[in-house]
Amino acid sequence: MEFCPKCGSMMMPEDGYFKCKECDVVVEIKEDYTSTENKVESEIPVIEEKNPNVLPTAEVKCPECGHNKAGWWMRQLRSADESETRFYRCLECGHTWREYD
Amino acid sequence: MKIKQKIKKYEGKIPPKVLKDIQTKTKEENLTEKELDKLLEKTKEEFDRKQVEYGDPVGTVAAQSIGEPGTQMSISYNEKVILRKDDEIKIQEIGKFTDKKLKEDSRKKGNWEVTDISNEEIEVPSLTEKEKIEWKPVEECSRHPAPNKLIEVKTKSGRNIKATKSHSFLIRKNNDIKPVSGSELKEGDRIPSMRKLKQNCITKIKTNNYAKPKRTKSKLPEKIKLDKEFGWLIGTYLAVGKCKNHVISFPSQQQDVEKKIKTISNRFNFTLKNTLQDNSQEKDLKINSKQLSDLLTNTCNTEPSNKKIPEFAYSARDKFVSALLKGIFDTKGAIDNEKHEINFESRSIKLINGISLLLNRLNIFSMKKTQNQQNKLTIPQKYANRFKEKIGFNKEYKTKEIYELKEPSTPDQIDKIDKVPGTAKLIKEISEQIDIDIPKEIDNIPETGNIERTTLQNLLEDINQEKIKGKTEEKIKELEKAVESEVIWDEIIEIEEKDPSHDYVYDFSVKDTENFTTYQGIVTHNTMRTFHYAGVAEIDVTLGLPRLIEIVDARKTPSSPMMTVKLEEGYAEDRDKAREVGWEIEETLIEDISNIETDYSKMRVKLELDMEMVKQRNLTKEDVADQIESELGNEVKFEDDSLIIRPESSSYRKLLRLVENLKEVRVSGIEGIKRVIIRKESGEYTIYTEGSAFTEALKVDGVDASRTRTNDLHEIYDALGIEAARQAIIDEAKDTLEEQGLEVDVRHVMLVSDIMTNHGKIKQIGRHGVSGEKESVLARASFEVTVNHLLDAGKRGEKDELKGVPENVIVGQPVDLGTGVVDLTMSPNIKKED
Repeated sequence: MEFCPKCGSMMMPEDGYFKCKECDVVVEIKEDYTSTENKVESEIPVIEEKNPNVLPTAEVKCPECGHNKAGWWMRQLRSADESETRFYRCLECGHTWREYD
Repeated sequence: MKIKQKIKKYEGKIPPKVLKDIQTKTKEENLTEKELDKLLEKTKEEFDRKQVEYGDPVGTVAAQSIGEPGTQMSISYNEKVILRKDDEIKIQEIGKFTDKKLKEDSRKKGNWEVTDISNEEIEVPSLTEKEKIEWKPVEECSRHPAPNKLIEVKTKSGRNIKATKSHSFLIRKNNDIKPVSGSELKEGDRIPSMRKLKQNCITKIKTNNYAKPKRTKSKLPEKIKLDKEFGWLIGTYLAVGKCKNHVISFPSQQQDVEKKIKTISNRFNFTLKNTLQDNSQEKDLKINSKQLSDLLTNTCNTEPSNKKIPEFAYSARDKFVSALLKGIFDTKGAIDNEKHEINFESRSIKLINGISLLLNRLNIFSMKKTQNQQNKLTIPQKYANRFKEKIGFNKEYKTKEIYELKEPSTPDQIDKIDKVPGTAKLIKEISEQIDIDIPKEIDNIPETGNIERTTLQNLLEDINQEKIKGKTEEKIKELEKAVESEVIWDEIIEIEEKDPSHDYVYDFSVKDTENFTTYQGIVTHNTMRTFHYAGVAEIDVTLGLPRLIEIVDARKTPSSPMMTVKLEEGYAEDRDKAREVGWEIEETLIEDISNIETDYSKMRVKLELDMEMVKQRNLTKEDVADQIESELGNEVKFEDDSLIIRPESSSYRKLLRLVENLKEVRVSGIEGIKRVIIRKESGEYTIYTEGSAFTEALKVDGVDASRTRTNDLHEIYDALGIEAARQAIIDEAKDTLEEQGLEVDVRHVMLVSDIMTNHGKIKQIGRHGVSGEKESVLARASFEVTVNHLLDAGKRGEKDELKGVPENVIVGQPVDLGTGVVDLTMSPNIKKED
C-alpha cells in the first residue's frame, strides 16, 4: 500500500500504477506488494502400535483378564489420616481398578 | 572489563545462569579472550542444538516412541551406503560411518544414539514420489542395540539387504509408493532397486591423495584428468591387469590393446616393456611406474578376488564411466545370443557390485549371481541398445556380436525382473476407455499382475498418438510414471532370519523422502513417519467427574466431542483405504491445501494449490473453484494450478476480508471434524475424530454404521432414536466410571438412563429435567432455586402429598418406603396363648 507523496492520502492500484484518490498523482508500481501465508500442513497420522505404557508397573493380577502386570499410580483421595488410593491399570486389557487399604 | 562486555553480548542467547557460570570459570581458569570466545560460541551452539522444535519428540512421549520396537527400523552394520559430499561419491559401511560420526558427537534418545549431521551436507540417493532417484541430504544418523534376529531379503536380480524386522521397505501399490514393515514383506513382493543414478561430475583427481610420488622418474602429473583414456586403462586393469611393486602388467592379447596402452604410457612418459610370460608364448605388456602401481593398488586392489571399482569412478563424468566399462567388457565381457544377454564374470563380488552401480550411472540395470566363488553380472538384451550407444566395444567381433544380439522371441525369455507392480489393472482400465491393441501375452495377466516395462513402453507409444483428455489422461500419466520410473521393481525370492553380526544396527534420517539407497541399489525407507507425531497422536477427551456431569446433564454438545468410526470389511484391514476414508471425513479448508498470496498492487488473492493434496482428497481445481464461487460469490479465474480471486470492488479492507473468508472455505470433508487420527486396534484400522458429526459420518462410504459411535448423546438420539440414546448414556457413563477404576453396578446406571429417556426425549437430571419435574413441591424446592419453586407453588396453590424421600426428610417424618412403609402398633394387653 502506498500513500500519496503530495497529499498523503491512500493510493489505490490501477493498471500497474498507484493512483491517488484525492489528487490524481500517479506512481508506478515497482516493488512486490505481495504477502503469502503458507498452508498449514496436515497429515492423517496412522498409529500401528498399542499405546505404550507410561506408568510404573507392578506384579498384580488383573481381576478381569488374569494378566499379572499392571501400571499403577496413587492419589490421596480420602482424608489425610487414611491411606492413599492405589490405582492399577492392566497392561493387557486396560481394565482399571482401585485398592483402598 | 572486556570479559564482561563479551559475556553481555550473549545475554538472551544463553540462559543467565550459564552465563554466570562462564564468568566465574573464566576468572578461575584465567581464560584468554580467544578461549572465552570459543567457549561462548560453543555453549551457544550446544544450547541451540538442544532446543526442541515443534514436532520433535520430547520427554515421555519421545521415550515411548523411541523405546517402542515399532520404531527400531534399521539396517545391519555391513550394509554399504552411497554417500555424496561435494560431488564426490564414497561407498562406506553404514556402521563404520555412523560409529565415527557418533564418536564425534552424539545424544541419547532412549536406547538410540543419534547425531545430527545435517550441516555436513552429506547426501544419499533417494527415491521420490515421482519415482525418480534424487540426491537428498542426510539429517541424522543413528544406531541402537541389535535385536535378536535380523532379516535378510534377497531379490531375483541377485541383490540383498539385511535389516531389522520393523525396518520398512517401499512397495508399489495402486500406482503409488508405500512403506511396509519388513515383517510384512513376503516372497514375491517387489521392492525398488535403483536403475538410474544422476551425478554432478568431478573431472580430475589429485594423484597425491591416492599415491605419493616416490621417484622423480615415471611420476604422475599432480592432477589426472578423468578422461576416456584413463577410464579405459582402469577398466582394463580391473579386468585383466596385475600390479607388482612398480610394475603394472597386462596380457597383450590384441594389437589394439597394446596400441592403446602405448599411447597412454607416452602421455605419462612411462617406460613400456614387452616380455614373454613365464612358461608360455604369450606376451605381457608392462608399464613401469611405482606411483601408478600404488594408485591402482590403493584404489582398485590387486588380488583378482578383491578388486573393486575405485570410488572416484562413481562421481566421474559419463565419458570416463563409459570408457572404464568399455575397458572391462572389451577384455572380459561376453555376449550370449542364446540367453539374450551380456555377461561379465569375476571372482570379486566387490567388482561386480561396483560395475552394477556404475551401470546405473548410464541407466542400465544389471543382475547378479554367485556360483562356486564365481560372480556373474548380466545385462539383459533390452539394454543392448543403450550399451552400444554409451559403452560399446573396441573389438570388432564383439561390436558385431552386440549388433546381432536379438530380442528374445518367446515371452518366457523376456526379462522377468523389470515388471511394474499394479500395471495390469492400469492397462485394463485404460483399454476400457480407449481402443488399444493389447498383446496376447499380457491379455491373460490377472488384474493384480505386473507387466514388463518394455511392453508398457510399446503400449504407451501406441497410445500417445491419439489425443485423450479427462480421467483417462490421468491414467496415462500414471502409466508414463511407471515406464519412466528410475527404479526397477525387483522381486523378492527369499526372506531369511539371520543373527546380527554386530552389536548395533544403524539408520539414516533423510530429508523429505525418508528413504535411501544402499550400495547394492535397494531402496529402503527408514521411518514410518507416523510415530513422530509426539503428543499429536492423541485425541483429547474429557474424562472423570466433569464428563459424568456432562452425561447426566445431557448437555447439547459435549466439551470434547469425538467419534469412533469403525470401518466396513474391505476398508478396515487396508491402511490406505482407511486413510482415504479419513480424508473424506476430515474437514479440509482452503488454508490447508494452498498457499495464500495477497497481492496489494493487483488487488487480488492468488491461491497456489498443492495439487497433490487436492488430488489426495479426490478433488480437482475446478471443484475448489466451484466451492469458492458458491460460498463467497466471487468469480474465480485459473492461472496454471493457481486460483485468482478478486474482491467485488477495489478496496484494501475488502481484499483483507476476502483473504480471511477464503481461508475458512471448506473444500472437502465434514463440517466440524477438525482432526482425524487412525489407530490400528486388534487388526483393524479405526478412525478417531476430533469433533462430531454423526449423521454425516454414517453416510461416508466404507464407514460401518452399526459400530460407529460418538460421545454426543443428542446426535445419537437424532440419528438412531431414543433407545439408542438410552444405551449410549449407559455405555458412556459406565466407560467413564470404569476409566476411573470405579465399579458401579450397571443397574444403577440403567436406572438413571431410563429416567432420563422415558419421556421419549433425552432429559437431564436437574432443574430443567428430572428433578425439576418432580411432583412434590418440597422435593423440587430442596434441589435448586428454592424460593422460586415455593413462590410458584404458593401462587398456584399446590399440595404436597409427602410421598417421596426429600419432602419427608424436610418435615421430619419416616419416608413411605422400606421399613418406613409399615405402621407398627402394639397392643400390650393381648393374652399369651398357652
